[in-house]
Amino acid sequence: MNLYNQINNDKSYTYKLLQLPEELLENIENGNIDNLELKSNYESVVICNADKSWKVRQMNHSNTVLLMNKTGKNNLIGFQSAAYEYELNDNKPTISKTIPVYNNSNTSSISITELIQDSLCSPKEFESLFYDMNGVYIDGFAYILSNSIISELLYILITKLMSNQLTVFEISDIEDIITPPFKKSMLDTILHKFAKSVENRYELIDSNISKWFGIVELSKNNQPVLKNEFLLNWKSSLPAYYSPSLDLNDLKGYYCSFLTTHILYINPIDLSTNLAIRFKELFAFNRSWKYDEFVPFINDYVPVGKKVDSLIIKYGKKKKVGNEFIVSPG
Amino acid sequence: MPTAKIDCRSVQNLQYDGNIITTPYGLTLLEIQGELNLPDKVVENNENFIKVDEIYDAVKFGNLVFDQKETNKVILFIGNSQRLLGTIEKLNTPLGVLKIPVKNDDNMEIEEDIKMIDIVKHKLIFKQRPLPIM
Repeated sequence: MNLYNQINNDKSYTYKLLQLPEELLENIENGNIDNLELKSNYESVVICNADKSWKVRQMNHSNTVLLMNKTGKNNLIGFQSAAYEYELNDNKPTISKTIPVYNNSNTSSISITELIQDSLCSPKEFESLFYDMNGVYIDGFAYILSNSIISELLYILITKLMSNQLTVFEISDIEDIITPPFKKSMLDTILHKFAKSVENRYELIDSNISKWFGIVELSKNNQPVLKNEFLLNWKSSLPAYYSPSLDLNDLKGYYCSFLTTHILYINPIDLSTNLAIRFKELFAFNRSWKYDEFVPFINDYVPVGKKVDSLIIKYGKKKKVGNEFIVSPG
Repeated sequence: MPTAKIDCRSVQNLQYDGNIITTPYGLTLLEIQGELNLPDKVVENNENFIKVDEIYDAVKFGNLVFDQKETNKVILFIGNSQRLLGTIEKLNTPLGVLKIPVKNDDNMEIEEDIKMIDIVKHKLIFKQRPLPIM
């Protein structure tokens, strides 16, 4: 077989090689994907399908790599030299803009389509992320729902379901709770956050709801509170006759224990995303953390391939006291 | 935010016929650990130069011979003095071939999507130093 290399070629096109992870390859070959989308900002490039996104990195090499085309019976003709491949790695989805909190008037200038397009993630990842951060679509614009609106609407929804003795419900069963100032899309946010759905039938997830009311109740205190007092307040913040099980363990990642009697609310959003600074901030609250209360505050920031404990040893120390592990400054 | 679409319809439901040297669309990936020094201009009346699609010029740089006994082995003869021993390897991660439009003076107005035109799953790789032809 004769090998040739073109010494001039069509200047209208260039050819690049893109690594295809197994999951993406399978979906393309099976015909599940017609198009992929490339999105970029000043620091990253991602490739997305409808469900998932991958971070794109240019992987250079020093070998001669030729992309060749077979012509005739016996000729392979190189038409593009490839000095690099694009490597795809798992991407941490992000929403790129700061979204305003809804305050009963339309002040947002961020349209939903613009926000989806500008965020380095797939449409499905966007939806999940957007509702996780209490996002709501109002008149085509994106907002964040305030904690008070969420609690109020959730309270009304639970009361409605309990009075009608419904555990599984459809939108039509509850839509009459939407009266001004509430809007239908706010109910969508509530259902995304606090209910599971199968074929348009919904069921509330009690653990998500009790956790929500627990965090809201906990956030009312900026000083350590007695555990028993907090548990009582938590219980009484729930709608009457609504009794999901309440477990302080569900609120890990939002508090630290003092002595054995008190807990202090810590809002994880207020902490630095830089791990070294985050550790310092956490140790400023408490110099002797219970290991399983400490880990939820840093779990999301552990780099891929690293273990939580290796970071704790780097920025602090872990020791066994009695039957439990304690994290303290190094 | 800059965005672009990659049209993947050409590579859906590709039919593989067992040929691992070329893809269903006839592409091959060849990798040599080293550099190929090739002329960048056509030398007239030289049989090593051919025309591709009656427009472009190409220069011959070698001859590929497949081992009859061990089907994953290949030999690349370069000129009359060097040979390279190589193998046909399966890629750990298959590669999509992207055809990317380049804006130039002739096509400033045309908006064209990037296309994935093929998927390469094997490559011919020559990792060793050249051996002399005796």
